[in-house]
Amino acid sequence: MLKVRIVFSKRGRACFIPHIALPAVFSRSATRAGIRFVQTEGFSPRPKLSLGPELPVGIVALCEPMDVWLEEWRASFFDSWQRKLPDGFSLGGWEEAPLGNLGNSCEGAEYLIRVRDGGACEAVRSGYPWPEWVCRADYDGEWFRVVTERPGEHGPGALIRDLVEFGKMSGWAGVNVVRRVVGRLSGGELTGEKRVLPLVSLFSGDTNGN
Amino acid sequence: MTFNDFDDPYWPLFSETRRPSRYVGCEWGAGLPEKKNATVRFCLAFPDVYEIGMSYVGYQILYPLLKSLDEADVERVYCPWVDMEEQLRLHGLPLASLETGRSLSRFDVVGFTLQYELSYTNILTMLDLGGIPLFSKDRGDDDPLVIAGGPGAMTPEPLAPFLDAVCMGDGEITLPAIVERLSAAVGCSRSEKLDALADLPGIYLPVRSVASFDSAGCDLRSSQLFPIRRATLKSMKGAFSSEGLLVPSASVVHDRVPVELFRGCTRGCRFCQAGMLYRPIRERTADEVVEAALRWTEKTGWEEIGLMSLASCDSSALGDVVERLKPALRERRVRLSLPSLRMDAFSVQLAAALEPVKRGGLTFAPEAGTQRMRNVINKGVSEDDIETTLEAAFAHGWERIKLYFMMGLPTETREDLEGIAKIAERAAEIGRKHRKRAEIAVSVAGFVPKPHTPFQWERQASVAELSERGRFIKSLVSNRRVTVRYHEGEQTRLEGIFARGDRRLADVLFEAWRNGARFDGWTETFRPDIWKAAFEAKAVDPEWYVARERPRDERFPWDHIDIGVSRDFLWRERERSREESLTPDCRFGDCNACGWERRGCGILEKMRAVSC
Repeated sequence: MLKVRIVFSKRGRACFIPHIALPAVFSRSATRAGIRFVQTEGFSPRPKLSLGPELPVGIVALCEPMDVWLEEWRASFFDSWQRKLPDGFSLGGWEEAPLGNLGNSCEGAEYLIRVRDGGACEAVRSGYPWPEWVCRADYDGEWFRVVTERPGEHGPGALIRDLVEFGKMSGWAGVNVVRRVVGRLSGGELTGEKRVLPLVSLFSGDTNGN
Repeated sequence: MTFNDFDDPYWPLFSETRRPSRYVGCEWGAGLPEKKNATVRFCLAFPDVYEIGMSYVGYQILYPLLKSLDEADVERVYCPWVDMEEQLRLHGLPLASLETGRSLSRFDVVGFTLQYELSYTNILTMLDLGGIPLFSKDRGDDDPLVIAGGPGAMTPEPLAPFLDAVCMGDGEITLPAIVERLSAAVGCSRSEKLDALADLPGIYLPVRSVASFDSAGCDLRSSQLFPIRRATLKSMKGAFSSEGLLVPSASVVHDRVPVELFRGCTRGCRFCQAGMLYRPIRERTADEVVEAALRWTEKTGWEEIGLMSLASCDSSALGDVVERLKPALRERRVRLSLPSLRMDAFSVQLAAALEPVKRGGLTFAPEAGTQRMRNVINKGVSEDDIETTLEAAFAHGWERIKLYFMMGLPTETREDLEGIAKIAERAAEIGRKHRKRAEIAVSVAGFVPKPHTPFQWERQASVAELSERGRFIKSLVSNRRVTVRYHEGEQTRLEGIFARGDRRLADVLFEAWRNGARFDGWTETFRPDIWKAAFEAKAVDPEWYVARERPRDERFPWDHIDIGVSRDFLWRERERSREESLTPDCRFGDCNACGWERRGCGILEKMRAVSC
């Protein structure tokens, strides 16, 4: 049994495939690629897989971690798995036998948030009280770059709902959200601005969009 | 940083709807490249939500079949839920195909499957949102042809004004023929295209017929030669079998590899429309089934295989198939399920073979509570069968058994209803003997007499009668391990009206849809008040369709459709039901002369070959 940590992206319309459906998406695509999952114990065995912090639908995700337990892993599996994924899903990197539990490793998440309505955007920029678990929030003229701590406890859903209410927007459609990366927090008072680093060393994806 | 994900004009709509995964596709197997040079662009339309439509086996066959034809390309669309309909109208966006986002109006053919009468208003929603005129008479040369198939196509009159062509029979025959003719008719007018289809087997053009009504029933006159005979594959040997299947990324109702064991059924249950419509029996060989099951498991990654048929246990190849699949599936950790099991054919061996699928529970359909009533409906299941089956199932580890019954059946008495409660209680008793947490879920549906069955002449029980009977059954069950659910009578009644309906109902359908009727098969959206008003507004008496026993010689609005089973046979069976006589399955006895004996019944041919 071998644990492999994978990071993946969810783009385009695949962003509307719910988090709960992802284990089947990944285990079925792995089966199509000839990769065998270890099964969980118990009455209803299923492929052993652990996803990172929950991601609500409608959010573009560029670097999401998951741990998978496989019977065997070879570097070539990465490309074969990639080819068997449905449209919108893509693997960004992997690491064999990573240390630590996935939940504990997910220390932070970095988001890009665009408020479509100019008035609402200005209201957020000038007066939105970011919650205490947001450790960084900058605005670059189009996107708010937001870094949060403990993404397992503080997901983006509550934040977006609050923003929508604060900016008096009509709904989620008024906000575009990208989760750039979930991973280790770096930086701080001594080393500079807070950033979030991917959890795998062989990351080959792109966290800057297209 | 640029993210063109958000440029998708439908993105805001997805953000504002419940279960947006219904509309986004992202499936495995559907991303085949669009055929730029296709001359016939087909859209398979399912008039219910995605998770129901993706569970429909038919499109898993017809989609790759159409894709395999050089001249054709195919895409799909499902009915948007009411919130998405509202969003589409709000944003002025059309209903579009999953694959390429092409509006329905830009296809050459939009083909619906008619699986359920209460999805008919959804067809109008989809046409309207897709930018296609609802009535055939209003469509121009640039509009797609709107066609329909499926079981409802064998009684299509309530939809006649909305459909250009109706396909009756196996899609493997009708669809390639349609594609070939339309491909040759590129650039022709709408009328010329319909002319090109008029003489194809199994094709009915409602627009070419006129209906009139008198006290003896319905009279249809057409330029087509009546009756239209259903187009039927003679054998499943060598029938189209695709390389792969469509695998959804979002969860769907039946999330598994569907493998067809056989088509047709000769059990002869007198209430069962499918059992009459899909004759004769055509089996796939064990080799074909095993090969397809393994191929699709590998190509799809699905963790479960469902061996599908009207009564899977009846397959002569089943034992062989299960034995051969077992080791391969165990090795691949794929579960096996048999979704339609009969209580008289469920064996201990089968229970053992299916053990790994316990999770979902087992479902059986005794259909009626007493032996007398089971004889009336020709459900050849005995009390002993029921006991033995329940013993075998619980003994092999299942904890939850679902039992389906009907109420409102012809000649039903109080004793028959009490019988349902008795079986449920007995099942719980047997379950308790084997499993501490044994549960029995009883579902009782109101009986709907269907066309092309021996009960097509019967009166349907009223809403009040069904409601009273449902309550009565429920009141008799005291065991806490048994739950009883019964269907609401209003929907059953509407289903019955449209099941045996005629062309006059089209106006009612349109009126109800115009006033907001949507997803009538869903309790949360069904609005009986809208339907009541629509019947009144169009001066159509709904009771005429359901509340009377019909005379033997009444001219039915489906008499112009020849499914292969004769009206004489159906009437004989109706009479035998009154005598409480069982008619044996012709596979295990004499020919019952259902009509197929005159046009190539495989069972008869096999028997003749043996006796020679």
